[in-house]
Amino acid sequence: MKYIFCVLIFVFQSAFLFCVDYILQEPVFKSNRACSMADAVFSNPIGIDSLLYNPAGLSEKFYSKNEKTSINLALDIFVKNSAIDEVQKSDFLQNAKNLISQNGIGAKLPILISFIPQKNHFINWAVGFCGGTYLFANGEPFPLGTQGYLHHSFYFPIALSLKFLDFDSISANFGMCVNPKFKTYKIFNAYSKEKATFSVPADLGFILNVKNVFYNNSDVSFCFVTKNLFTEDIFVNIGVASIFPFKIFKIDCAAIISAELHQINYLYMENNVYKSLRIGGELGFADFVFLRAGLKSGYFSFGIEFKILSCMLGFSWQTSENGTYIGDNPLSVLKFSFTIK
Amino acid sequence: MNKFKKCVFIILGICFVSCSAPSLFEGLDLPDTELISTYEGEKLIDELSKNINSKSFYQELTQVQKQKILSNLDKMIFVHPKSSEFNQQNLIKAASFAIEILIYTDSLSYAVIYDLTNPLLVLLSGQNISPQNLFEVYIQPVKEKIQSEGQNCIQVISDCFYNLLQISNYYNAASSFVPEGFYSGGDLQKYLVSSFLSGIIELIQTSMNYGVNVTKDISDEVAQLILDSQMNAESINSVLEYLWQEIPKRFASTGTDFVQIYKQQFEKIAQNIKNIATSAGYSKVADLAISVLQEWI
Repeated sequence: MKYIFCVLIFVFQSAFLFCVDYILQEPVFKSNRACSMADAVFSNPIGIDSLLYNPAGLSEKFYSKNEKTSINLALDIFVKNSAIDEVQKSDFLQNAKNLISQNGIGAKLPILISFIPQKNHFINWAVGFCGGTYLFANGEPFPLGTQGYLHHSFYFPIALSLKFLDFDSISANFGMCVNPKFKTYKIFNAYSKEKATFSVPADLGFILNVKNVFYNNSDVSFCFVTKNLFTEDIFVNIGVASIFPFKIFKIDCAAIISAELHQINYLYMENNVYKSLRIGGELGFADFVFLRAGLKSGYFSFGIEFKILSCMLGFSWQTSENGTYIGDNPLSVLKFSFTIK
Repeated sequence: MNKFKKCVFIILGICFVSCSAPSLFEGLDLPDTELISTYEGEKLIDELSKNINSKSFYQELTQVQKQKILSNLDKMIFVHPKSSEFNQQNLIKAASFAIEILIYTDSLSYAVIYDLTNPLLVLLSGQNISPQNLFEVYIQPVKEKIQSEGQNCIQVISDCFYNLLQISNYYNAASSFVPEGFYSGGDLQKYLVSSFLSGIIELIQTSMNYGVNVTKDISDEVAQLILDSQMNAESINSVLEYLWQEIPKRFASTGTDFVQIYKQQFEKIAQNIKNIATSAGYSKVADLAISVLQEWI
C-alpha cells in the first residue's frame, strides 16, 4: 500500500472585484481549468479539482499523471463590462460614482492548502484548508448607499472517494466531501455590523465512466453532484464528458468535451435552462499545452495553460451571469496562474 | 511562420471579441412581467423580491403593467390595516419595491436622486445651504433635459416630479414601521432628495387648496413653470423665488397661516428623516439634515 502523498497548493490571489454578490457566492478558490472551461468540470475533474467540484473524481482515473505536490500562485482581475464603458466618460467624479455605486470595487486574498493521498485503485481521500479575505465596497449609488465590506472565509474540506464498480467497459465512482465553513463579515456602514456563521455542508458526487465508446480509450463519463447539502444553498449538477485521445506526429494528445446543467433544482423555480447550461472543451498536446474554451450561460470563456517541467503557467477569461436573468449583470474574471508541481 | 502568426492573430482576435460579447442566450431568459402584474398580496411581494434587482425586469415592464403593480402595492401600503406585524412587514416591503420601480423605470427620477455630484460639491465648497441653491443643484438633471429636448420634455419633467412625490409618500407611510437595519444609507439619500423636491410641490398643493387626487396637475404646473423659465433663459432660482413669494400670498388669500403649515411640513419631514436614518444607522447625517431644516424654518 502506498503512503499518503501531500499535495500542497498555496494560492495567493488578489483581485479587483466589481460585485458584492459575486464575491459572496463565488468559491474561495476556483481553478484555472474550471475558469476557462466555463465550470464544466464536474463530470471530468482532475486532481485537486475533485476536492472543489466533484469528490468522486478523486479516483485514479481522473488524476493527471504527475500531480503529487504543487504550489499554485494566481492573480485574478475582475472586470464588469459596463464598468469599462463608464471609464470612457470624462467626468472623474461621475466615473467614481458609477464605478463604486453600480459595481463595487475591492480585493480578494484567498489561500488553499490541500492534501491528497497517492493514487489508489479503489479508495482515495483528501483533506484541505481554504481561506480567503475580501475587502470591497459596494451598495446603492453614491454617496450614502455605498458600503464597505470585509469578509473572511475558512473552509476545511475532507473528501473520500470509492470505486464501487470496475468492469472492463464500465466503472463507477462515488465520493463525498464534508466541508466545514466558517465565515465572518463586517459591513462598514453606519452600524459597522459584524456577523459570523459556521456551517457544515456536504457534497455527494457520482461518476459513471464508460470505456472505449467511440474507439479505444475514448471514454464517456456521466456525473451527478449534489453540493452544499444541509444548507439553504443546496444545488444539483448533472453532466456528461467525453475524452478523445489521439496522436499528432506520434505525440499523445487528448480532447475533452463536456456539457453540464448546473443547479437543476432551481430550473423550475428561478433558473432558465439556458442559464444552467455549461459547455467546456479542452485540447491537450503532449501534456505540455492545454487550450480550453467554454460557454457559461451563453457567455464565452477561454484559457491556455503551459506545462514546462514541473511548472504550469496559464491564463483564463470567464464571464458569469450574476443577475436574475441572462444579461442582467455579467461579470468577467481574467485569471493568471502559476503552478509548481 | 506567417501562417502561424495569422493563426495567433485570429485566435487573439476571437478572444478579444468574445471578451465583451453578450450572452448567446440573451433574450431567451426574460421575466414574465405580464404574469407578475396580475399577482397581489404576498405572492406579488415574493415575485418582486426575485425581480426587483433585475435590469431585464425593468426593461420588460410596460407602462400598463407598472401601473397595475403599483396599484396592487398601494393596496398593501395604504388600504390594508397595519395592526399585525405581518401586515407591517408587507407594507414596508411593498413600499420599498414601489420606490425601486418608480426610480428604475424613469431615467430622470433616477438622475435627480442619484446624480448628487453637484450637491456634494456645493457642500464641500462651504456655501450656505439654502432652499434656493439646493433646489438649483438638485434639478440640474432636469435643466440638462430641457436644454437637450426643449418644450417636448414637459411630460417627462412632470412625471419625474410626480414620481418624487410618490416616493416621498411611500417613505412617509412606511418609515414609522421599519425595524433597525431595514433601511440603508441609500434610502436616506432617496428620501432627502424626494422629500425636498416633493415638499415644494406639496406646499403648492396645500396653498392652492387642491384635493388629494389632483397632485399630478400640480406637478404639471411646476414642470411648466420650470420649463418656461428655462426657455426664457431665466434662472431656476427665479422659479423658486416666484413660488416662495406666490405661495404665502395664496395662503394669505385663504386666511391660512403659511408659516404654521410650512413648519408642520418640515417637522413631518424631519421626523421621517429621523426614522429612516435611525433604521439605516446614519443618525449624524440625520442630525445635520434636521438642523439645516430648522435653520430654514
